[in-house]
Amino acid sequence: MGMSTISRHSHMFISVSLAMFIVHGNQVGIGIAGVQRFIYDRVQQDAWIAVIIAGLMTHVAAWVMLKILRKYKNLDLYDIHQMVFGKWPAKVLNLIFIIYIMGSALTILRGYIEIIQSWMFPEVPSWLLNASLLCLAIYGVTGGIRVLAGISFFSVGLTICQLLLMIYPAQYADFNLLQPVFHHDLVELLDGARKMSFSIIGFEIILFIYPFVKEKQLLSRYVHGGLLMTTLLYVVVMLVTLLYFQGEQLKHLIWATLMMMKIVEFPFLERFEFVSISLWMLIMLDNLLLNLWVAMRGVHHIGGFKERKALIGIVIVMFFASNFLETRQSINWITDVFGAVGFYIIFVYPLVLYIVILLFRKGTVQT
Amino acid sequence: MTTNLIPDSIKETQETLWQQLRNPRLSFRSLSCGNNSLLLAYLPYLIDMVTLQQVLLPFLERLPDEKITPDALVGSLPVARVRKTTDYRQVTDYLVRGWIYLQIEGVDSGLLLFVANIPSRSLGEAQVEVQIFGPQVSFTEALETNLGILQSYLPTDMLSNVSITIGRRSRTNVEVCYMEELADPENVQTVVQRVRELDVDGLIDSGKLVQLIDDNTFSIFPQLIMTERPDYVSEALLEGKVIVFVEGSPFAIMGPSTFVDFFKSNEDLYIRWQMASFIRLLRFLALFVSLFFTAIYVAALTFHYEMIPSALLVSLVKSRSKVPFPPLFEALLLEMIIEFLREAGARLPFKVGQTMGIVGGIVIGQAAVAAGFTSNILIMIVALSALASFTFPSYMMSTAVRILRFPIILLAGIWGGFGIMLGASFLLIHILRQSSLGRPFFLPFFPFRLRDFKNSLIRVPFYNLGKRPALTRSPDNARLPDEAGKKRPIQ
Repeated sequence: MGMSTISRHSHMFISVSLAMFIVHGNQVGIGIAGVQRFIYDRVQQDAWIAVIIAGLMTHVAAWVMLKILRKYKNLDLYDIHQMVFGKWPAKVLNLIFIIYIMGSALTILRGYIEIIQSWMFPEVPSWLLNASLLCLAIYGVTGGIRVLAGISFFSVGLTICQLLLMIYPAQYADFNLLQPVFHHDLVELLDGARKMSFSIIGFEIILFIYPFVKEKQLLSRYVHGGLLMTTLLYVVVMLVTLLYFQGEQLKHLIWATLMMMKIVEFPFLERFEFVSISLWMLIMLDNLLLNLWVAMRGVHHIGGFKERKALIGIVIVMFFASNFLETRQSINWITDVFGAVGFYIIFVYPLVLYIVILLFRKGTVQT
Repeated sequence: MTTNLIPDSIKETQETLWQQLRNPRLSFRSLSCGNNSLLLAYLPYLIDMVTLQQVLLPFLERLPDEKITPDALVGSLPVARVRKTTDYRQVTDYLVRGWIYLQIEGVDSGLLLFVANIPSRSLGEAQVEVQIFGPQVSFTEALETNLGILQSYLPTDMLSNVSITIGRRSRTNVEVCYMEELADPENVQTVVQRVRELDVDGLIDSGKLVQLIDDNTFSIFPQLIMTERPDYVSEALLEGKVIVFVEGSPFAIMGPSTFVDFFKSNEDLYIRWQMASFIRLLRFLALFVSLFFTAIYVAALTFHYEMIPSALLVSLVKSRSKVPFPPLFEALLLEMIIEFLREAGARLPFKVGQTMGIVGGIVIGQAAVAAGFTSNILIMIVALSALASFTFPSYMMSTAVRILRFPIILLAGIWGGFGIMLGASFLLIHILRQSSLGRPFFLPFFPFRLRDFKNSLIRVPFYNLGKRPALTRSPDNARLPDEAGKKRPIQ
């Protein structure tokens, strides 16, 4: 058919404002369903302060990331590694990144399927749910960066809709539950913030979408806008959780946010959490798609495979890997591992990389 | 081309044309006036006989005695369109389109005269896209008539046409229309190129053309709007869209179109903006109801009955108490019945069809409940989703939505809410992947464009619609002068 006149070129780019949705969408995924207890364990009633600190940390980390990206005109992290460290060290670093990204995709996928199995369909085998979500992911990722941006856009819309439902639990807010406030020192608060890292990372996506963004000079305001939206979202959710649950109760809730959804009620609808969990698919789908896309680009970059083949390979690996994560313990384990590793990769490593670039590669501005 | 030269003897020409056309109705009329022998060849059923007998023949009989040349005749023939030809292949091409061939003995070229009266129906009201308010005329099967109607709506020299002949055997005329200065040249180029590159056997209707030139053949969604309404087409031309007419088809193709465009009716422009906005929102609600309502019923009753408030659950269970099937089977059965009724109604002759539809619907519906096949509530839900799908102005889109309902019901029956969401996410990705003439298909929503959004889910007053949609990338954006929005007339 006469498709030759379509300029495929413009399909490769996204407008800069979408970076906000991509950042926010990739940050908010499965973590928000139950992050509260991790933070509460650490800093109790000061949890909301820890959330704000974590939010501030993301702004700093993103600032460093943007600094790195600005040093090189139009490259993503995979290319930058190659520029800075040379071919083989870069391949090793990129491989570490790919494994990390695939690991977080796996955590997201497994986390969502666990919710489905615990709340809705205990008897459906997880490989079947895995397979169906991964097929959906292949269809989405092969659509290219614009489709991913679109999914993020709608995912953010849905997150905001779900946030509005927090009005229902907020009606039962007991402000005495906020006491005692300011009872922890900075070290404890920082540790609480670190506990949150798994739920708030995802903005590293800017390291990879950078070459695809139009009008890059405006990128930082949208990235920080997206980060701010995420921080506000988490602060609201954390506050409502603290006001709604007794402390001891909260410690035992794996999915505190979903528990609050239980009381949302309409004249024709009760037990809203079923709707909420179903809708959550879109909220976590953009994380899954974006992570798979980043991994796909990485495999394409270090192995030279065609993108589509790389994607199929990654999905097959993920499918088999996810079958090893059957129990609550193993899911907790992988969440902890990637939460901890993620903290160093996302918050610490960019700073190291930036210092290396500043010290050893002065004035290397390449195209 | 050299082998197809017209012989200079009219006898030989006659022979050649006979062999070429092999049509016993091919008529010849020989005339001799003075020293000239003339031959007229034509297909009588395509010719305006009155013109031939009362104008053309008397003129030819009154020709002067001396030898004449075709060149001399061209200027004086009482016919509006005359063409010279030396190629008998061209002669046959034109004969079958209602032209008369005229040759003078001893000259190896001839003249083609346009005296066609091609059978066609007169103008009628739009039958498929019914509108209560606004113009009622619709396009017909005749391309020239359609162009005439269109030009009468837009009597401006900015309306430009590109004529293309498509189909190796059918030789169908296709006309690409656009507004100079308003349409993006790239869009026009895309359409023209896609049509030109077609190499098909025959092209009878625009419904076929649209499937050959759209962006993704594998999508269930139509990507270019088809309409029979000249007012809609004119409005689209003013937005900078490109229109394609096909000879023999009353439906024009217009593009680029977005997903949302399929839920717009041109009538929304003729009624006040509050009403238009309400009706548009109603249609999008209908889209949601049509796609998901039955599926939600199946999901809730199969897996998530805790979600239904107890008062409602009582009446649901009562109504279902006699039904021996699981909700999925019950729903699919009833959806099939509705589809049977709809299809039967569409195929049966008009008068029988309508009565049969109503009686069949009521009788089957009542009997199904009495026999314990389905519950009353499900009948209501299924009828509601069918009704909702009929609110879409685009027949193509409403069919697509009705078909999509089935996989979603199936998914709901297998995996409940998770299944519905799986289907919905797939649909979302699918729509995001589509394009129309290379422009994003989901446009006012993604990428979000406020300018287009103002005339999508809702329609704002015209004073606030001062710009052409971003969709068409029109080189001239201003529909109203910039200050029009601020300086609206105050009563």
